[in-house]
Amino acid sequence: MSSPDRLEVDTVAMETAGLQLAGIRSESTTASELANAIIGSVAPPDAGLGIGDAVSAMGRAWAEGLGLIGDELAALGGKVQQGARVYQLVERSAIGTFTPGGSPSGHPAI
Amino acid sequence: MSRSEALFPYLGDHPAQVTRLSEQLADIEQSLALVGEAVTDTRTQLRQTWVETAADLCDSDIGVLATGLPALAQRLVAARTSVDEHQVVLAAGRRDVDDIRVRYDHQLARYEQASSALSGLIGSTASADFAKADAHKAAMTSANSAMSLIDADYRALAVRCNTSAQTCSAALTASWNGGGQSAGAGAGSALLAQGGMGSGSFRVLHLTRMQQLAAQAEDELKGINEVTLLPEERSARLEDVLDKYGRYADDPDFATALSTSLGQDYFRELPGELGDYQHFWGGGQDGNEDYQLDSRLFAMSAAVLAAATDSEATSHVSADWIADLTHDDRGGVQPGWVVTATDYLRTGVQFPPSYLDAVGQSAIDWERSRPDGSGDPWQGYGNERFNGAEPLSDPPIGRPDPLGAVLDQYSARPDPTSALFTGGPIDPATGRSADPAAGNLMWLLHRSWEGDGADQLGDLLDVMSNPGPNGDPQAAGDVAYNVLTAVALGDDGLGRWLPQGMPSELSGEIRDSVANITARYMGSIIGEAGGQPATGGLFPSGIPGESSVARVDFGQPPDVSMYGDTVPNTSVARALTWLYQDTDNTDVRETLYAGWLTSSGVGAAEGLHEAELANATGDSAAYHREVLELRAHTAASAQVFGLLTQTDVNSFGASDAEAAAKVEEMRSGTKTIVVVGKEIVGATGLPGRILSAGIGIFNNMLIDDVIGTHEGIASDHHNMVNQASAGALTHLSSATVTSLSQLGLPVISELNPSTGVAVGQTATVDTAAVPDAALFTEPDGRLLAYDDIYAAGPGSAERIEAFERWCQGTALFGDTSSLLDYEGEVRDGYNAGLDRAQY
Repeated sequence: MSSPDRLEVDTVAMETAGLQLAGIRSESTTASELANAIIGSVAPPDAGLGIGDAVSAMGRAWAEGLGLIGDELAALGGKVQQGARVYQLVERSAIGTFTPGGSPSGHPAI
Repeated sequence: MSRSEALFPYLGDHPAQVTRLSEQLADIEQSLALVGEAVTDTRTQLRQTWVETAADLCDSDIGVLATGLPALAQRLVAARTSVDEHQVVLAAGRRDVDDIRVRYDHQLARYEQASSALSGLIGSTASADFAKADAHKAAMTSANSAMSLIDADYRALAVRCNTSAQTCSAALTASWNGGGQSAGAGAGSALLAQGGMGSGSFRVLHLTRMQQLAAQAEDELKGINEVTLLPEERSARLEDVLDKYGRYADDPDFATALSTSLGQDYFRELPGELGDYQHFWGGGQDGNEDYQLDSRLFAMSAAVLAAATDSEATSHVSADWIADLTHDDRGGVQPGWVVTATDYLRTGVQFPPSYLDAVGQSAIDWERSRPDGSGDPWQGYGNERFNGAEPLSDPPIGRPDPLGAVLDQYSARPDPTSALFTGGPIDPATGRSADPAAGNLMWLLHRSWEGDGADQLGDLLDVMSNPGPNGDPQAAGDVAYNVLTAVALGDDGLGRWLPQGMPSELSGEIRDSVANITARYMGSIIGEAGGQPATGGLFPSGIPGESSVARVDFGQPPDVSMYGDTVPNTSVARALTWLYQDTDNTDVRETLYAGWLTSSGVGAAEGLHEAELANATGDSAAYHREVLELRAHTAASAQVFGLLTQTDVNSFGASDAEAAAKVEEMRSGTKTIVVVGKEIVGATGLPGRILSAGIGIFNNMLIDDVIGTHEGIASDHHNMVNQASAGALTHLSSATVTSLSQLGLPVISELNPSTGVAVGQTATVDTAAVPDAALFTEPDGRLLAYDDIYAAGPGSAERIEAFERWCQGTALFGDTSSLLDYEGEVRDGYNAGLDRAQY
């Protein structure tokens, strides 16, 4: 699809999507904190074997992984928002160039 | 705390804590599900609003998240399920422990009560008290037994709880550590990778950053070699570019983006631009700071070119892009561009096979396209060459040799899968070269290389045909196939088709390497001669100390003689013959000889082992089958050896002497060689040994071994020989005919019977009349097939007549009749000895 075909972009929706992506990060952060909370949550048993060590290792891994996801969501949100702003600039520029009432063709050079 | 609580503590984790853990995991699941749903919604929203390239990139990144998050959530579900199961076991375990404590307390009370009552009876002599005492003792014993059973119950319960904890721990660990990665830093990345969203997701972010940097680098490189730039200004810009982007030069994402935007022109024109700038401002001297900066820019550009053209990397330019580096718009090779493209190879940067093959092929195409191929194909090209190698120096002196530069790179990193060394178009039916002689390889073998190029090519082919302990046997076997078949099929002046006295076009270094390859794959050659199909698997290398090599089908089925016996196919025969014949290099012959020794011995060992096993188990059918196979192997070994040594026996004699130590080494501990010799001798008799061409040295030593005592059979032979013929055959028991001369005459070596070392040898009689070649050889001089030779039995009239003619022609024997007697006697003696060998 050529670039001119894509000038019809809902930049508002796009901006919203960018904000939404960045907002998802908070949920991912929550998940990460929940994972962090399980570290040390199971005490060593009085007798026999327990799962405490495995629980803590799992908590650390999941907290780190979910944190990485959060960082990535924030970065993606930024990218989308940046793209939306670029398109808004293009949109405004196009409106200025193709203002109805100009040349019959709509292009100032013709 | 009661005594039972102290004796029977609760086992494992606290069920309440585990229940809480399960709830926490459910919370994480729920949170993760929310993230996943939100990401999916946003993805859908973005798809509806923005579908351009950058958005696609972003969308793919979000897509990784959207599909990866559910996979991660499933891992949480599996972990939580295991936790719940563990909790059930723990809760039940606690109830069981409570029950155990009650039961134990009851039995303990019972025991103590009986014990107390019993104590009260101590000292009493009333008969009634005796009865009571017995009752109390019985109660104590019963209570004690019950407590033992309770203790056993507790132990069984402990096993169940421990097993549950171990199972649950494994499940929790597997939720993030399925790949076995140790806990600690990076555990989160490991988790994401297992969730299907590891490198893919994060690579997009990296790619975006690299593309941004590449765009900046392109801007800053523009016009950097314009002569309008003052040296100081240019140097500052170069320093800045090198400092900022040098570290990313070998990053495939950066390199591909930069190469694509700069285009092939940048790489083609850079050396010329550097030369022009230096010419204008007076640079270009060794040690000149500007020149050093230019060299660094050239080397950085080489690194970018190498990284961008690596087809194995995730990001890389297309094959067409690489082709356009050396071809014009009409598809013609531009030799000047080829020179420039290969000058980047001199910077010390390691280039990928995809680049080397493409540029190397361009160079070959140019050289081969020139009329009659005469003169220097690169004369007049590469005038603006620039050498960015460290240490810094002026452009290389001498004519450019693009293929030499490519070979340098491959020599540093041999790659048996390289397309540059293949043998022409591939036959789709076999997956191998349809005509190896028509491809690059044959041409490369004959190319007039600069400097030590021929050495390099030979060494490279040698190395590539050896898979080593960790290599790909099949790829290495393909190299061997290409080399040997190309050599065998070459009819453009190669080998034995040359008029006598005319040297081969192959250099000695290449020939040595081809000999190594032949020796390495001698097992396949012998197997093929014996009619064994090469259906995969490995053979020990014919070069001792090397790893196993692939069984190689050299492309043509064995020939079948008129008697239904298989013989080596013509191609292999030609290759072997040529190799051995077309050199005075004793080392080459010894290499082939040693290869034959190893391969024959190993093959015979396998057959012997199988035959012995069958014999031990009483499987007579298997035994006879294995013996037949063993005989086929030894016959094939003899044939191959005959092919190797059929001519120029003087040189073979020298090789014999040099190999004597190896012979002794083999003799000392190799029963298998005994079998080889025994089979050969048993099948042929003395003339057979002669016609087995070179087996004699083994015959003598092996007969000794087979018989067990040298003197027994050897003395018989000695006596018979003395009776039959004196003089030259005095020590026939320890001497034997080692081979035929070029004219088919026997050369007799006298061997030390204890060591097998040749201590004397008759002179080759080259001036004698040519014997009846049809008896032993084909019209072109090649030995007849093994079994063809013995088609006529030694005692037949035909054989006697032929043998008589042969003896008359040798000029070694004066009394033909005695020799005929001798032949029969020796044969009988050998057969008698073999009967005693209890084989």
